[in-house]
Amino acid sequence: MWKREEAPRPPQPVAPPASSPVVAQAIPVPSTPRVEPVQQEKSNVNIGKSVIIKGELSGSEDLTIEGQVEGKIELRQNVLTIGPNAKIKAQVLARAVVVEGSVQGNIATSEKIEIRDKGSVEGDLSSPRVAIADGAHFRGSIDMQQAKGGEKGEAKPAVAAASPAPAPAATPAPAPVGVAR
Amino acid sequence: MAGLFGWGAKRPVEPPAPERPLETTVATVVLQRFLTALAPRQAPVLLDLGPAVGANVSFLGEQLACKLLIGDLFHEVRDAGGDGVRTSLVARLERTVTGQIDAVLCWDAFDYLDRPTAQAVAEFLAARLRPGGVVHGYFATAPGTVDQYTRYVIQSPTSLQCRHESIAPRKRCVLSTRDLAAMFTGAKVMESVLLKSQRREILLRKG
Repeated sequence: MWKREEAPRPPQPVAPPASSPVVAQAIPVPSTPRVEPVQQEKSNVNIGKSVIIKGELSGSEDLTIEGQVEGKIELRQNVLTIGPNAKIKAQVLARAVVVEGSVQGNIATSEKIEIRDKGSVEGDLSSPRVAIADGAHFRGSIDMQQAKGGEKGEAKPAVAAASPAPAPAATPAPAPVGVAR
Repeated sequence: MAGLFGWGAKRPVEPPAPERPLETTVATVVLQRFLTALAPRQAPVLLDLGPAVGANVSFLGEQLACKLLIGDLFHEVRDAGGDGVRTSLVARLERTVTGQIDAVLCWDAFDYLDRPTAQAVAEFLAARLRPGGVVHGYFATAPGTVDQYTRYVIQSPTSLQCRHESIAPRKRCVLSTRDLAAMFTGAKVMESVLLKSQRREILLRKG
């Protein structure tokens, strides 16, 4: 008598758990280290603490790294966040980079590099805007030659313009390794 | 008895040591001239012998659109220690400064060095400085012990904020204006201002 009648629920689509990031599945492929996530707008992919990637990482989504990456990271049109636990030994190319963890390697962006108070970078920075918080550690050089003349906001995309990312129609991306939705 | 041994007597209260402020502000007239000297240069290369300070990076980037090299000599001195400091410092500078430079920020950096090391660093910098290149520096005028590390933060072209932190005491290196002119071979002293804080603010320019 106490049991309420439950309305029949519509069948829910089966989705991968949010905690299992996509790119993590791409780790055991050292022979083809390039990971090409599917084109998605305003999505963010996480690479978890326990994930170690060696090779070249590229994509067209914003990415947060909490694990370790060695090699090269290329997100020419997107924002890369290097989390507090992340350890990066790589050359980084992105639209913008936020560093909260540790980076050894050069970083080039077309918009902005931000090193937060616990962040550490040993390498050369190239960006129209660079922000280094008090308490951050930095060793290297900073190239802000695109900043002069009020072009800060619309920086010439030095990185992107040099070799624009291939259009998806011209070079169809390989089958996605996985998609975080 | 108590009076005999002084028991129970009130000890004279020592006045508390005056607390040194953690932050002070220093006015500068020379920084503006430094910036003016660099303004006509296209993408100047600037070496800061201090640590990376976010406000300075932003300020210099906006004013000069420069390439900024971070020397961070003090931390090299602290980390290296002992007799190997000179070798270590010059090696670090050689790694950092691979080409010619247009300007040097030398804010207190020489205070922490011994004289031969200061000489070696100055010779290295003078050799890498382009003709017309400038050095802006703060140098001690009074001998003694240096037990504070000062981080300079640019607030405006006429004002710097000094953030102090305690360090293990070490002997302060004092260099006169004439010493500096001799050390930076080929450079002339354009400005020399004695500050109330017993420091000298100097602008050197290579001919």
